[in-house]
Amino acid sequence: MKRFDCLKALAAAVRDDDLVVTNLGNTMHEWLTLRPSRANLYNMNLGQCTPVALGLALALPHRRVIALDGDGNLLLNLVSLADVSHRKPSNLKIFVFDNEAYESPGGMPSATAHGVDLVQIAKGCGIERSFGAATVEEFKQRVELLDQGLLFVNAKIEMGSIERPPYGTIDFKFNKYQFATYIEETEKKPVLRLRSRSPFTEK
Amino acid sequence: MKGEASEAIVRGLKAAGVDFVAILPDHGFDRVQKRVAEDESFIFAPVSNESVGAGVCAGAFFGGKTPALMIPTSGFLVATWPLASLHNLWNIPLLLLIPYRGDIGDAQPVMRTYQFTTEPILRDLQIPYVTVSEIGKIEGAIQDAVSSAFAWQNPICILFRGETLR
Repeated sequence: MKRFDCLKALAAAVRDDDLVVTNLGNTMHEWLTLRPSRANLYNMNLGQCTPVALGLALALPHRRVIALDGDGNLLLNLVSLADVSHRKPSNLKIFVFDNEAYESPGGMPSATAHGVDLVQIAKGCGIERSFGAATVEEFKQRVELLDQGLLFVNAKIEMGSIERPPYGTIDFKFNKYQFATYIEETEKKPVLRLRSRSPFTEK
Repeated sequence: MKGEASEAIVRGLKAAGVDFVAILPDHGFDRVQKRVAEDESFIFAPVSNESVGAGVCAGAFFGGKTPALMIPTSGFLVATWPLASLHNLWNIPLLLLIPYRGDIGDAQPVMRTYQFTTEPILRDLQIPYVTVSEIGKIEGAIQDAVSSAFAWQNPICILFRGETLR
């Protein structure tokens, strides 16, 4: 199963106002290709995709927040699944694209290539709706569960990706301001708050 | 940490508009944690690892919250990865609160290490910090730190020491 085919199925199901937090590397490029949007927060470095999505989901409980994580990224901070389960935000949906490898730095096998089962770990953490997906059809069935509370899906994918678009990389800070101003517009509340009251000059 | 200092921290957080708090339990913050967890004016995010806490706070910022991360001195070392790869790289505001163990006068031998790591690493991560030794200065320090964190789009740290810890 190719990640791109899974992401196509997911892109067809997400709403315009769904907030999507992505892993860095191939997942980011493929999602940017399929669903370019100011509602995407790209390039979460190792161990940070699910935690950032958790914080966003707790801050905006009325918005669906989708994390597009990877096996290597999640493994670095596996305990984040326990912390997700502690609060169990029903608006958080975690999709892990598990190619059983650290593909970007050369393809060395990750722990999931040696029997580590992320679905069982998520279930063991208390995330009841934790599922695997080995085919695109199975993945589509999992996507249909988007509206049914906290969700964890581990999609077993093959290595490889689409050809990267020539201008597919987004500068971190550009993405920050795109996303933050999108939240400001859609939530009608300040996010950046660049101008704070100065205790030195104002009362 | 004294009850009086814990209450001053809670008052300071509220006065500064902090509405999201991630905590990994620490001896110094046990009372604050209980107060924050019971107070509905805060979204409380208990974490099992300080680097998860830093990531959760970054997400909360993007959701329009004013986040604070309360972690032990030792745990600051665990949080350095997201503080570098996320907060520093993206310029994300954060109020970082640390009871400064390993300060001169700390009689715990195991805390000695943090005398040599805490402040140098804060400087290396370009996180401005202040140390607060008096309970009467806690509230003002928190308000100043939050104000600068957003104006500068950068984490700001408060290290608690002296009478605030005893």
